[in-house]
Amino acid sequence: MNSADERLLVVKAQGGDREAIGQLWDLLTPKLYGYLLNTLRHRPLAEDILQSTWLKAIEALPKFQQKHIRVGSWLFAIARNECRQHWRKSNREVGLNASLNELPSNTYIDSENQILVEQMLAPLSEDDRELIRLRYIADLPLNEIAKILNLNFVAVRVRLHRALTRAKSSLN
Amino acid sequence: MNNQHDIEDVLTSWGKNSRQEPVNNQILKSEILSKEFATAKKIAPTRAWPLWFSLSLTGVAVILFFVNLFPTVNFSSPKLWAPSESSPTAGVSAPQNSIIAPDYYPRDVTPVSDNREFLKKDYNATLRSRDVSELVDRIQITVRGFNGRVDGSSGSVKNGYVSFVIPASSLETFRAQIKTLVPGKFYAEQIYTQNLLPQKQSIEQSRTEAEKTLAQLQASRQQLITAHSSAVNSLQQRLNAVAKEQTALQSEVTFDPARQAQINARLDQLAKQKISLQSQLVSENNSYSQKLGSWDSQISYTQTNLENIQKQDQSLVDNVATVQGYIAINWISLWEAADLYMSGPLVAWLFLAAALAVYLWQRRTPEILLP
Repeated sequence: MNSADERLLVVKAQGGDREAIGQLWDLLTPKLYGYLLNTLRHRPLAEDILQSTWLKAIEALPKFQQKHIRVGSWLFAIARNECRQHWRKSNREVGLNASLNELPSNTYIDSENQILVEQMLAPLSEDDRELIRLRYIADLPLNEIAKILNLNFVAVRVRLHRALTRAKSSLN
Repeated sequence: MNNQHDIEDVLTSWGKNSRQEPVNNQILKSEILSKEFATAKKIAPTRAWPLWFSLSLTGVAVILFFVNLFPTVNFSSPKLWAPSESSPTAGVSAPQNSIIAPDYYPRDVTPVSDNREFLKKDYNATLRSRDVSELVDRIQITVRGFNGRVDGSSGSVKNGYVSFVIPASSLETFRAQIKTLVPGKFYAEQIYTQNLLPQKQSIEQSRTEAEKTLAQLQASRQQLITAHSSAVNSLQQRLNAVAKEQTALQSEVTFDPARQAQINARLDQLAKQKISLQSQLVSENNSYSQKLGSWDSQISYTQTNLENIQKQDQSLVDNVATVQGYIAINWISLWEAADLYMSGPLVAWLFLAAALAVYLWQRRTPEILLP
């Protein structure tokens, strides 16, 4: 689905079209859930936050202005905020540093690739891992990531490059 | 895995594999869709006032620019050389000024054949600075560095001045040095040049006439002395002749009564002649003394006059060889400094800047509004 179709869906959804909302769900939920699962390392919690993210998004959808940010990025910003609120309630600011192996075995199909990424991400900071999640799981462009993280485009590009360099050096 | 590209491929693959639907996707989806939610129709449209505000500010700026094109209304601050109220020329138009000004040496009397230059220069400058006192000190140092003489100075927070005299030969270098003290926009100068050749010619003419008069007086005096000597000699010779004849007659011994009578008559004549000659001699001496005194007086007066002319000449040469200078230093506000650098009215520029700021604020990327 291209950007224009996505915008059209959002306009329809803002007008109360439930079918459009359903299509947006189908389009965005796999990325969003994958992101939450990787961030929270807890399937029920990820489902809860997925649900609360969508509820808040749908509630605020009429106020949403597409000229500033894409709806996908907006959803990820809401999800991020939901995670933070959850951690704040749990007296913890950053996500669990649990191993990917703690997740059910059917979470990752390519186990060899999974182990490789596990090794790469392990020495990185939570900020770097968040950047990589948004870039590769959420599949967001750098300018959208910059808006979510409230950074400028160049800073995001530099930080991502450094994170990848660190990941590469951790393998060596 | 040797390069960044391979890592990105691995991560891209990992990202794709990480995307998945929840196990109970359909249940969650149906729950979400079953909720009541607001529609866009219930939301009031956002106000677009910043755009109108920006356009209004731009409009005001454009109007100010146009208004400033016409000299009737000037929103700029006073220029660097605005005449002050206390200025002697304030309120006097140029033609009136030229009528009032005396003209002792009309320009048309200077012959074209005389190509000598006797130009008297007066140098006036106005500097604007944020630190007036320091600039006054630096100007004084500069004047002395050019073998000049500071005649007066004053320095306060807002105003200051330095009046001075420097050698005319140093004027150009001095000007260049003064210009380096402040930025170009903060410097204004006026150099008045007065042609003193007519004065010089007048002095030279007076000198020639005085010298000529002196020579004539001295010649007349000499002529008087010569004439007096000649007259005195003539009278003295005649007196001597009378005395000689008297001696001869008195020494003559005769018993002839007729001869004796002749001798006596002759002696009477000679005595009268002697008295007359002596009287003429006294008269000549008196006349000579009076005339000599008169000539000497005239010569003395002419010599004094000639000395005065020579002093005037030297004074004029010295005057031409020096430059009288006056540098005024005025404090400048940041507003005036900005106005000097702006081509149009500063207010218009400020309105334009405000319009741009409002426009950029409106166009800025807002933070994501999270529900």
